[in-house]
Amino acid sequence: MAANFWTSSHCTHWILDRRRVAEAMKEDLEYVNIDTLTKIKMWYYGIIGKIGKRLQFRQQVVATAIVYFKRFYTKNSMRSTDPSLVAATCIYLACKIEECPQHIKHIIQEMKHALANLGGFDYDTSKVAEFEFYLLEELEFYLIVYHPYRDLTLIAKDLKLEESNLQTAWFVLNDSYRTDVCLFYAPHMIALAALYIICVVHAEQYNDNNNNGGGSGRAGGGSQNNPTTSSSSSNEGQGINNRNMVQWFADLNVDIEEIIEITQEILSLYSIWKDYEEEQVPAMMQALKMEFDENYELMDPQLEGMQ
Amino acid sequence: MEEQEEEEVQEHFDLPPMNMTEYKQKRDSCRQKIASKYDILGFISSGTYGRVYKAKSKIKDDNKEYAIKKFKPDKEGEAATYIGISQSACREIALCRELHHENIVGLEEVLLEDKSIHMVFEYAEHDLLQIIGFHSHPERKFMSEYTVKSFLWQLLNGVAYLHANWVMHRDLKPANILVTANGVVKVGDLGLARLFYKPLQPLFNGDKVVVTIWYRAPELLLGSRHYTKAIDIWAIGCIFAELITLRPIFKGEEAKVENKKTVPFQKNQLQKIFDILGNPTKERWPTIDQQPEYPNLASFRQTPNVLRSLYQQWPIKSEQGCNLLAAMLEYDPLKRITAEEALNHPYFQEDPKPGLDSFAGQPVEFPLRRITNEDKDMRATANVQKTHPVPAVKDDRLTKRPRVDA
Repeated sequence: MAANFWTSSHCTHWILDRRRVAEAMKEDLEYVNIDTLTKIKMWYYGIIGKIGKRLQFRQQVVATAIVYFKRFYTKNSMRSTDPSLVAATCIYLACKIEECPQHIKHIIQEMKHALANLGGFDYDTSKVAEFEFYLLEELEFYLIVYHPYRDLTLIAKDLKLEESNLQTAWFVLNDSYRTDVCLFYAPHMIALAALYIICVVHAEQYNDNNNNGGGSGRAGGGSQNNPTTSSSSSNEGQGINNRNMVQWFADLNVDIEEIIEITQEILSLYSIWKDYEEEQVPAMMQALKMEFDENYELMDPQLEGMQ
Repeated sequence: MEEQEEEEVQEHFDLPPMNMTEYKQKRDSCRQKIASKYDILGFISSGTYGRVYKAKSKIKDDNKEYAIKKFKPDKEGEAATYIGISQSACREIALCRELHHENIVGLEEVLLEDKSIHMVFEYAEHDLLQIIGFHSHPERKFMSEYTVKSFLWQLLNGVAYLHANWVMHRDLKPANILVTANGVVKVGDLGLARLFYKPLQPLFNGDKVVVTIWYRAPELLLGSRHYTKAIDIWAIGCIFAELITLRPIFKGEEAKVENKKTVPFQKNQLQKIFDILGNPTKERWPTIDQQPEYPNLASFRQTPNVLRSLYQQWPIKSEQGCNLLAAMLEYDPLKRITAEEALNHPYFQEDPKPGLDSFAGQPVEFPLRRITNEDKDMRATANVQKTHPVPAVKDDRLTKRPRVDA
């Protein structure tokens, strides 16, 4: 397990088929379109990140909480559940599993603060504690999650990667949690994709995508740093001999196609980020939670002049 | 204009009231009842965590027996509101769900019922505390070297697997080492176990006190903040000696915890260790002066290391056995033998070689684990099997846990 990803529950039970995840989204997609749903989810990841920052968690704790949240929503629709209760419970459980337990009251307090503008957080200690049972069950009691940070550090050491490049790759990994790549790919593949992004994908293109992107800072803060803030290091990234890196990737005994898929998924996040406005989220949520009314046309808040 | 916009936005903030009643009903309705899957045969024991029951699967082809550990929904005596599952239950579930090894107690499944977590483990008929007790009462009759060596080897084998997976057990003691009716060792009770790969905080910050006092390593007794997996090896050394002599090797008296913030200095326990191993010196343990409680060592009388002469009076005569014991009871955690190295120790190459059935050729018939039907909580749903009653040995090690909540 901890020493061997291949025998872990993460590998054997929680690397998922895309169809299963698509199935879970079906109900929600009757109310909002895929971009909107993605943005709503991004908003909740942002909330988890924000609370993590306020309570000074390490990135790993935030990452585990986000993975729990994602895993929960591979089995449930957002419409039929309350994502804020799910998020709070994910944070609470992740803190325990990552050995930095927090008092449940602190988490509830932070949730109330973070959701002050979006319906508040109307759950007390016993409600969150009760929901922990449901969350544990949805997670099938598999609680240990692998993250790509460790792999990245190991690979970086092996490659003698400069500190600044490692930093940038680290930020890309933070961003990757806004996508679903952690549900579909092994962590070391995600780590490789992050390296691929900073070393092989042209650094300029990467910066271009981000300069307009708004970035994670706006998407809820979190402990994620906006990749643009480290653009200078990305430029240094050009200092890495790209041809050598291409060769290095080619020599790896891994599926390069898969790395490219992950890369594309992460890069496409940056394009969604471009037109993500936090202020739109309440209307998006309302559309998602709308009482079903046959006369009502499928509403996409973005088409309703919310831009 | 701006005001108007704000009003509009305000309006959007009102989401339909969310209660998760529907979701919960759906989940509650498809949850399988424990009684539909298992027959409860009786009550085994209770502890701070909750209660353990013996059970049998209702599936016809499954003749295996199980131990169901039911965690208390609330801390005893605390009427306070429920605040979620304990850190200990969390760890045990998380780790047992990942670990799969012949010498680690297997977790069959986890069930929720009655607002409690139920962990269904494979059943083990015996444990080392009970076996040691059986060999000590009414008169002392030593275990065969084969049995001792097989227990020790399998225990090391399980712990080597834990350590290879970055898991520290932190509460190894005879009561937590289970043994099946076929003589297979199963390391149990991972409620204090945790991962030690790049911990986010020093281990000391999480749990101020780990390992039951008699099995607690010297670096822990000296207040080490960054202890290592070597603490498990010390405990195994203590267990090895106890298997041979049937008495705890360092039977100290625990200084009581007076308040939760400070950990008392365990002078008596250290004295028991020094009485046998001699005082630790800078030569034996170069970094001993960095231990927080180092200044306290000045007050101890000087005693020589008498482990070898003591061992000669014990029933096992192998010199390699003594070497292995000394290697596990090494003061300096860096010099202490690792589980992996111990498995390859010459002691295990000598006859009698260890076996998979620790009881093989053993003339004694161990009594079965006693179960009762007294418990009101989960009633036995099947007839309690007839067992040879075991005299209930009162031993506080059964229920005592080395825990001070952080």
